Amino acid sequence: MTRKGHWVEPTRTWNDTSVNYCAVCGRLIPRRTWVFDGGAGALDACSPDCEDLYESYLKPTYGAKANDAHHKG
Amino acid sequence: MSTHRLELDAVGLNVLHNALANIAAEMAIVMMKTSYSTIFNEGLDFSTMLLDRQGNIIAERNFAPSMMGAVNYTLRWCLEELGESFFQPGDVVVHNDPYRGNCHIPEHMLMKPIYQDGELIGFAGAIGHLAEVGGKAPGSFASDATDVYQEGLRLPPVKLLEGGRYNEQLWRVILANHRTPRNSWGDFHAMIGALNIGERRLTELVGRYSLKTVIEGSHRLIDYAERRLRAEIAELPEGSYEAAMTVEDDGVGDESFDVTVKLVIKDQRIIADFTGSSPQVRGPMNCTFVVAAAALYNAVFSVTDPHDLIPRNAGCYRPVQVIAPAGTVVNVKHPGPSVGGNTDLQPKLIDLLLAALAKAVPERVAAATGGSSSNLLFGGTHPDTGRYYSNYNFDGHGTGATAEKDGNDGEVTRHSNCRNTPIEVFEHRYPLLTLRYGLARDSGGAGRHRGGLATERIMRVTAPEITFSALFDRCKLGAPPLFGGHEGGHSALLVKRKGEAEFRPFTEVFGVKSPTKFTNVVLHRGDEIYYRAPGGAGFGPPSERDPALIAEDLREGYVSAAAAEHDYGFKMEGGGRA
Amino acid sequence: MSVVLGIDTGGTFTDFVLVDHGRGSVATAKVPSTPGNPARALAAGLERLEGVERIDRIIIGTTVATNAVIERKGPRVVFITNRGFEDVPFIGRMDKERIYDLNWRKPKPLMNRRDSIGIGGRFDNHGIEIAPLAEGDLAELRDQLAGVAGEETAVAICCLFSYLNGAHEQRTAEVVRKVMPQADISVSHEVSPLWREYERASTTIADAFVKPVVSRYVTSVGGALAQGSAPRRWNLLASNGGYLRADQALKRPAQLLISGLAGGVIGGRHFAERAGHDAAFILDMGGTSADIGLVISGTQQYTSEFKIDFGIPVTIPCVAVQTIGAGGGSIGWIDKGGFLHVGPRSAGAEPGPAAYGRGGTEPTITDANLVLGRLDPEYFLGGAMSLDMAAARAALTRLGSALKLTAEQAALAMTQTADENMANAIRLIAVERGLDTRDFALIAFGGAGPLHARAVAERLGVKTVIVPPYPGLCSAFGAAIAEARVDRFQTFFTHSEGVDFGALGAALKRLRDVTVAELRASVEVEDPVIRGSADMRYAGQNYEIEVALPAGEMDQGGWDETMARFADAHNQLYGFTLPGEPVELINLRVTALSPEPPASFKMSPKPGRAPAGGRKVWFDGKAPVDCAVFPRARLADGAAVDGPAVVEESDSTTVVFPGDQIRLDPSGVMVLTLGGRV
Repeated sequence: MTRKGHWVEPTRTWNDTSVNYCAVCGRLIPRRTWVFDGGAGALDACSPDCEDLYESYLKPTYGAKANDAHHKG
Repeated sequence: MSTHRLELDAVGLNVLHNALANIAAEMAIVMMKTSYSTIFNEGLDFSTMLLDRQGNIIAERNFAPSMMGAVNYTLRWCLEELGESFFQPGDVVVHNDPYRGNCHIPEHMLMKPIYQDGELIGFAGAIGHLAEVGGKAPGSFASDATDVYQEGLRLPPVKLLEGGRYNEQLWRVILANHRTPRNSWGDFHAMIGALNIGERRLTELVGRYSLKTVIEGSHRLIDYAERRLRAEIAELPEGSYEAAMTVEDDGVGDESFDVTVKLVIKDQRIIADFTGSSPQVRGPMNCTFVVAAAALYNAVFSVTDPHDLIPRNAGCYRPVQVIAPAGTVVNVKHPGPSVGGNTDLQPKLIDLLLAALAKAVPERVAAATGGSSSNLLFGGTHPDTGRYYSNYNFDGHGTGATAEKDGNDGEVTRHSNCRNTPIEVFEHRYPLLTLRYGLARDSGGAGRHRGGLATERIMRVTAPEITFSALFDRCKLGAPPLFGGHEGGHSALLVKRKGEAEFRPFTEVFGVKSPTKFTNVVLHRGDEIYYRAPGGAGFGPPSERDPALIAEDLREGYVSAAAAEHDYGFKMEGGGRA
Repeated sequence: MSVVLGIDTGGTFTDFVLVDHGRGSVATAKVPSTPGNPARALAAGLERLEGVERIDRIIIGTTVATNAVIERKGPRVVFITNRGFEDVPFIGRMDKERIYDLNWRKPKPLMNRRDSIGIGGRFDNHGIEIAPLAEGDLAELRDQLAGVAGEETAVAICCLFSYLNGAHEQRTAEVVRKVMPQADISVSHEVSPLWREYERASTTIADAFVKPVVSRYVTSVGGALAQGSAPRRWNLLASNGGYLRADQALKRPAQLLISGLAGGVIGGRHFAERAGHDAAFILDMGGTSADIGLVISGTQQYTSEFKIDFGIPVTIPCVAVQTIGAGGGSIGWIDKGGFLHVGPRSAGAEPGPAAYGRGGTEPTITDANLVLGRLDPEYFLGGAMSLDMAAARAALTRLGSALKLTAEQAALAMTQTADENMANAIRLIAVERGLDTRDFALIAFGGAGPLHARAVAERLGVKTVIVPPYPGLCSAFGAAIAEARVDRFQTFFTHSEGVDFGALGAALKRLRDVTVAELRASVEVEDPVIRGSADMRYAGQNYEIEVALPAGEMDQGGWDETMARFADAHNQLYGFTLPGEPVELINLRVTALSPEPPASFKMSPKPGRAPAGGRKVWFDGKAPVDCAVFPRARLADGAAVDGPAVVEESDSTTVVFPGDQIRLDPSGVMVLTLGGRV
């Protein structure tokens, strides 16, 4: 599967307590984010494997989705 | 350099596996014997592990299945977030942050990097439940918490020891925010002692066989474990299997919430997709991602490896994946509370996943267990010693019946393997007199195979006052059965004030919102508490139960004559046991 | 000077070792066991022993109690406890033996739930009676017991906090005795006065459960021994490795629950001492299992809880023995990931190893040792049985093909896996006690012990292996040299921040008196050796460390010394102390024994038949090595012989690797010194 995403380094400073979660599987995104276009907009993922999971399972099952406010913590 | 050669063939890998597993076992022994909290040393609510440089588990000694998710993810996430250079020789890092890979606030993960000739070669890890970590309720079990700040002191990854020396400023903060600092001090030292042993032994092992051999062998063992589990998964019928459940309340309000799962078995992998589950709830019945993951591992091992033959390392977790959208009840986001998710949502998730698997492999699953830890926490000043004490009490529920047998009576929840506290030890420590500790008749759900009975207990306060918190569940909705069985018996939590004649719910007597979830209710000398854990559910229609088994149930007093007639249509000559 | 006969009744054989301390000689015999009628095997063995004029003392190690529990063949047990707590034996500790096994059956206690009776009365945690045992309760009990008719019944009584005050238990026992004069009764504060009600109840129930079968055994054996040169009074080997007069042992037969294992540990310790080692692991490897014991500072190690099976804990003082499923009959098999495992499944005696020719097709350790050339097919069990090499080879070829190995390589993989399993079990034992295996020697016996000992030792960094004379008879030998010994313990709390010296001293004295009295009931002894110890821990911890109490009065000085010893022990075990932290004393322990004079007899190996001279033996996977083969007696001149070698005797075979040395010590043991690396 050819992957379309790319890594994005975080811009958080050490005193920023927020965390971010993968919009595909829900895992923590500890540092850098794999950002790819899910067909309905950008999606933040924890790794390229989740782009695969999205394409092979999530999108066929639920349709395309994009980031929403919910996955940021 | 090494002193011994080890061929990494089947025998040699077995030798290496034993050696690594033994190190984790030795770490566990140290922790068990030197810790202060009974939940550690009597309850065995902890795990120890060795990990490689990337944070992959190479060996674990796991007494608490609920921690499997955390041990698999936490260190890797720390390494990713902070970088390898964050760790330095002599460091011990602690973290209990539920939003960063931990199970719930009381669970603390300690990690120690291990070096050889200045190079990082791996980590020793230990995770355990500290009995008291501050927050709104003693015992750090705030059943009606609405955010993490009420649950206890939250620590992102920070250093307890830095370069081998106490990070005193951090310790002072921690000890000032735990109600029983002496216990926390003792427990942390028990964990640090375990990590030190792990470091020493891994270093010796590397000296014996060489670093290259140990690392390569560990990775082969990881691949082997993955292969083994895939081979087992390959025997399950591929497909997509759905199940859903309702949980009766969240601890703050009395609305129920739902969890749905779609279990996909394909290409020797299993995905548990919790999409569609309720958004996270106000009270602490949410669980964290790693707890949902632990529930899935538990259910998968139950149907693929019931005899613990597959080595537990990073490999056996690879073919199994959770999809738990952040912000749902199975993956709580800041600042949502989660203390009860680990103890009371997790066992239900395991049962839910088994219910989904029941559609694939009915002969390998079980009906739902009671599915609640029946958490009762209390604390106060002991009248005999003047010392503050606190205790986290949980008890045995009934397990679910299977295609082969009835459920077990008075057993601990699926996600842990803690032991109860003997009454003689309990009364030695706490000013509570036990009036009854037994099994509750008729609490097992009827079925071709019957669910197991739950425990029940009555206690009387013998101190001027004791402060209680509780997180019980399955008081309104019994454990769900399979294939025509009946639900498990409901739990109960009641109070009788001194001088009164009857036990009544806490909602009636104290005006708390939930009958099963509340904090900081003060009882006085002579007041009594009654509790009953939830029973296990039945498997198969009661009409198919062997009459000889029903007769034995009656003679042994597991089932009453009335229930035998009502549930099974059975009447025994001469009547059963009174 | 006495003549002592030690007997070990095993599943297949009953072994006899007669030690004549006066002449300094030993006679032995081995007969097939007769489990249905043990007296027959005893009579047969007595006849077999040569040159016996008189026997001063007999000590028997028996598995009769253990088997009754494992097979659950015993009386109906009625359990009496406080009202409301009838389910304590059924709830147990709540934990699971196998976490993920949804079909795991929680074990039942040795009784039915319908036979659990709750009565009134209650003591609190200070031993104060907070509810009396009323006459009405006792009347009700009488009625309930009157309804228990017909089958053989035993009664177990266990009330909360009875180790502080046994009055209610006593009263209840009196009532039971009147209503059921035939029934055996066990009372928890007599059987095991320790806290933790479930374990105490389990022990008391087990005690009651085995009383009838042990009683019948004692009667039957007494009858057989009543004839001939045997003394009228005879003894049983208890789980603590001491002997008790048979009628005394009947009072608390739970003490016999590892009688069958204790002899091996006593014997092993003796030979370790003979060879000059005060730190040793004991490995007794037989057909189905390997039993592992531990000697530290010249003394065998003890424990106070034994799990016969998961779900039946028994808190009796016993030698610490761990059993693992590694024996001659252990089967080699491959899992779905291609890994080789050995055991715990065993081929047993039927069909047995493939080489037995009884229809077994799975490869066992015995088959592996045969194919590796370590066993002589014509000299198994001293020539009593011949082994089928072709069948063994066929089984190993099948196993090997699944692993892409030759039959010999598969055999080697099997023995190495079994060796690793045994070494692993020993390692964990050492770890539990904070010990370094490299400081230890390994004493090996049993049919298969000397075959594997060297390889196990190498894995542990152990440099010396000791093989006793007559390695197949070590358990009987241990029984023969056992001392009269009684161990008792008692839960008695003391907190360092408020020691009541008077009460503590009184409790110690009471325990000492009771222990010595029990010893004197078995043996005449003027000056018994008396030792005291205490289980202690930091207040808040949950596991105690046993600390030897200083001799003399328990006063402030004695207490300070005790506290210092505790701190040292804690540091030794865990690497730290908590100065200033309060300490709790939980249990008191006393040992009273009548020491035996040091054994000074000689056990010369029987001259064996002439060896084949040599054969090829496999030590690694590449090629076999020419190996000298000779009987043990050949080493009689005391000279050291270099490996590789195979030393044969009727009970067992010892394998010596290239680079090792073996010699026969004047004391009679064989000493194998590991050299080089393999």
